[in-house]
Amino acid sequence: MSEPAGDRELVEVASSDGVTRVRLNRPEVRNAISRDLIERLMAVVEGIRADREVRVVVLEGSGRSFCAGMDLKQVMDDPVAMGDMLRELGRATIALRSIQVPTIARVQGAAIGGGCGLSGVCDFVVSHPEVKIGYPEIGLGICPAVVAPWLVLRIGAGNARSILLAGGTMDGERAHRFGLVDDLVPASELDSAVERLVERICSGGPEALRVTKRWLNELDGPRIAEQVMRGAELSAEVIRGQEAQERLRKVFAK
Amino acid sequence: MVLRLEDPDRRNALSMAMLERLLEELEAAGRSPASVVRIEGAGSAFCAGIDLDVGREDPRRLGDLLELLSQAMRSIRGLPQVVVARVQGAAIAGGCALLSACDFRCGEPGTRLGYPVPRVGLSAAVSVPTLLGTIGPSRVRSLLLEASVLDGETAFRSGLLTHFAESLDRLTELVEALCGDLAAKGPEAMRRTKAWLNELDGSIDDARHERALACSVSTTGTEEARALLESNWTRGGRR
Repeated sequence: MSEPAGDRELVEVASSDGVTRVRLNRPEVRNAISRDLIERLMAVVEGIRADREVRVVVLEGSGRSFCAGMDLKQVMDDPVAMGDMLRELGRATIALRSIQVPTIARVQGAAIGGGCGLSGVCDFVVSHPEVKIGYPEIGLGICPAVVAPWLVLRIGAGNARSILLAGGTMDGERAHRFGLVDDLVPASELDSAVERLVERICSGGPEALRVTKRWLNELDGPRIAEQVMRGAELSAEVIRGQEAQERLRKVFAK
Repeated sequence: MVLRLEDPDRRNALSMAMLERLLEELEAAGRSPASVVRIEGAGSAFCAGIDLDVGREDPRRLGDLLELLSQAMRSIRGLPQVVVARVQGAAIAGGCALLSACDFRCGEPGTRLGYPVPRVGLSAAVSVPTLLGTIGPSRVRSLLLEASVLDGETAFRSGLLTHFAESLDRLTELVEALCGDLAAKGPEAMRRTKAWLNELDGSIDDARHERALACSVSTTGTEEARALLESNWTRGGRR
């Protein structure tokens, strides 16, 4: 079933001069990740992987927020669909990571839960001090198992432990200290900071960059995809449980 | 649930009796319905490390202590609950090893953390399986090989402490606020997430712990350790 989106694409894609911009486009729900959105994102990423002209990818969100996380409300009453969505999120992070050129997440406003998962698999995260970022899953009785393997790779196991087990969200300064954000700039300079980064990346040899990116992805380890997908199963199991169901119902009843 | 090392006159040095008791309490904690376990030390220090006096007659006897220490670290890391350490003053060597197995580590300006054990001819290798994930490989290298002792603020910047109170007076408040926050989260989600992180970072991998332990134990039988420990006692220090 497809949601009514009119003529609008849930993920827009535009390329020029080797720069491909991928834009999550459900601003009315802060780009919450629905099944249709993930499906479309996967198709877009497939296209990018086949395109030899692409040199850098910028992932961004329409409106005031980058991405508010999984649209759980949509699948609240269907545990099977919930599990499917977590598996799709897992596959989407694997696909994004496997893009063979550098990827930049342009994060404004908020990157929460699965949204932070999407930005976290990008090679660069550019954001601003007022951003709200993090993994509040544990407070909802949800296990952030899909994003955990990526977070451990990005910021180390110790930091991942203290962030995921404490839950909640943090501001840009703190996220920058932890390494969730690589480049922290005033909100008004977000676009120019991304442009600078794009230019710097494009000044490098495209072949050298592809080879380097491929090598870095290989260093993610031979088991990373398997871990992410096992994380999806774990998370699906926990979300079906009584604790998560009760906590989610309380939140959605508000 | 709170576990307190209770031998303040000896800065909670880890004796056989202390470690055996700690292991029993950890096992009981694991069965309890509490969702957060707090570990702390009575008096002015969290823990001054393993009780070197045990090795006075024969330094090789320190190996027994190291084995219990390794078990305690595994037991802390393997607890289904999240574990918060409250660290005032010193958490040195074995104390720092216990700390490295805790999920959250709260300190203050007077906190002193590190592994100065090469000075007595011993290796802190036993600590590496939990320390590695906690602060990352490059910091483990400098901490163990340089054998320096970090103050609280430096330890916080390096990730060895996850929380830092501006003064000792504020430490209790900080620890209580953190424990309260953690207890409000979903306990089942918390358990599953901790277990998953343990699997991802290999910090409960027994083979790894056994190798690390064997490495530390091997240093207790060296001529170097015997001589350095001897001169340490001649100088009148326990450490």
